[in-house]
Amino acid sequence: MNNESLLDKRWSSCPHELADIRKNVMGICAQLSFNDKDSNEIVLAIDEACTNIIRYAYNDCRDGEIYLQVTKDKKQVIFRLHDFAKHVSKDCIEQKEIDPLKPGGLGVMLMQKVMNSVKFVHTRKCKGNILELKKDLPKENSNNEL
Amino acid sequence: MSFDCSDHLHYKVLHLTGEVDLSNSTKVRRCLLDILDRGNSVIVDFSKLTYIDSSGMAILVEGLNTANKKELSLTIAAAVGAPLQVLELTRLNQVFTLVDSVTDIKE
Repeated sequence: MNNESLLDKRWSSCPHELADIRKNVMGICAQLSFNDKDSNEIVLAIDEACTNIIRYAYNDCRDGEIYLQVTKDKKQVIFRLHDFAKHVSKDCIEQKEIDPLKPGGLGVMLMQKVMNSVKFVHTRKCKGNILELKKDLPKENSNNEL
Repeated sequence: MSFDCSDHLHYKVLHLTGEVDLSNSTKVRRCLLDILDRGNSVIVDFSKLTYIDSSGMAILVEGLNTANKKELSLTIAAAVGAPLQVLELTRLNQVFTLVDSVTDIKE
């Protein structure tokens, strides 16, 4: 069964691109009838994922590329973020209890808390990393065609 | 994103406007730490802030830790919408003193 494509877009790994990424994700949330609270949380999760790509995959180098594919199936919206940097450890997105007063880990904690699933889906042969974040569609939207 | 400073009683008020993310959080950090280095307690006014990510929250946490070491205070005013959601998701709403508006602080 093929998923329906909602977005297929590339940005540079410059932090100034984050605002446009958020705008695109907010547009998709509106299209899928997420409420304001869920939309804000989804935008935050994708922004945190992109921030981690910029900071840790590309080491703040601005000439990398972030490729976002968004699809939906009957139950979920699926965000796939591709970067083309060296493979990062898949452990870095594991859910951990963190002390919010100590540096590090806030972004991953937010992604895990907000989304229904966050995992790397690339293989060793794949160039770069692919992070997949899934969120259940709002009840009234599930099973409906756009 | 833009920010500016004003005075309220003996506090410096840091007004944040727009969106704080990785592209501009360093500027906010510099301003916040500068206020604290000068020995001022600070109120961070969120009333015109529409978005803040974990890089922005990390700076506020650093500011709070700095303030505590210097026996100063850091208070967040008028957090609503997406910025308030981030405070709640990170449980930092239990760590910072939150007030509804800058003028709620009387002394």
